[in-house]
Amino acid sequence: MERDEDTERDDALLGELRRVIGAADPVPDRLIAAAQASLSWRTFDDDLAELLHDSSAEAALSGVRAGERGRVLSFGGERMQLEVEVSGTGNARTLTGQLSPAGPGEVEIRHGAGQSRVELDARGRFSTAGIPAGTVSLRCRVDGAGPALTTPWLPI
Amino acid sequence: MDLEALMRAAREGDGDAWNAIVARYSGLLWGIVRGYRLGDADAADVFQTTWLRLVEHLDGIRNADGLGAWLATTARHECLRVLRVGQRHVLTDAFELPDEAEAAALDARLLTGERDRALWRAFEVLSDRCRRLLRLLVADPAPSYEEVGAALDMPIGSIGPTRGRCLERLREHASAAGLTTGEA
Repeated sequence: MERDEDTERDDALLGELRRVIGAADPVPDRLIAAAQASLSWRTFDDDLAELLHDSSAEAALSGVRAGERGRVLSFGGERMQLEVEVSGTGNARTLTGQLSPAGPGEVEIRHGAGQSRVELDARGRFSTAGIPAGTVSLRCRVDGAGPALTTPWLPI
Repeated sequence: MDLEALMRAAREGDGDAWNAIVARYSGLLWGIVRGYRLGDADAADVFQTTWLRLVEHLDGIRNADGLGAWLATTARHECLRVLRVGQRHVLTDAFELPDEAEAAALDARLLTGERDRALWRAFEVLSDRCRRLLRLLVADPAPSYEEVGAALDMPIGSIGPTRGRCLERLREHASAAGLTTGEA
């Protein structure tokens, strides 16, 4: 009997908490809208790269603050590797990268506000500024080479 | 449509099916990121990253029953990564700490009743473990224990007992806060 009463009391309290949290901290509408729109970012037949190394995770572990140099991210796919340095403060980021094997082509930087394109030079390098802080994925395509290398989505 | 059918349709590019999946799990994911006390920018990043990861892996997830747990696990990993890296704060101002207390106060202003505010404050001072669990259990729609277990990396068998203990703590804090409020 007592157990049933306890269960009822718990359910009632949880119900009240549900109502209060629902009012105080609902999922923001703009985030629902962004989640709905994310289906359009689907890619097919890309070489999906993995994040192999993140210098800021390492700095955090060793207790060293991120220094003058930006955050360095390394990605590896089946056939290509990408290294990207992320720098910048506030809401804008500068990305400088190197794709290997090198080749001229194009990099699509996909982010919350849309996407930017930047040229990949013959040595596989690129640089672009003014990328909004937030979640990004890079898609690198070398002219005349197979599938694009696509990085996982990652907040920067 | 059941989840299996929604996943199949979403793979074919069906926006309505995708939106139904988003509607079903957004509350769970928001509950996870808020449980980890991420500020607005970081919470938004993790929430969005998790959905984009699913878009990336739509073809790889064949077991629709495991979708909620997959999303929950992905969100938890991303929360832990953001907390480890502390990127927004490192990049904007190394010495600026997120003012969570202020954020909580702002949110609480939206609550009209004294009783609601007291309950919110009582919730805010719970231990991390309790706050995370209860924040998830009140998600709408309510997550399964399997999803909660994946979100918190907690054995499913311990969810029920922990829920009971955490609600007891909440009840204690609430009545203490209520008394204080009455005397003020």
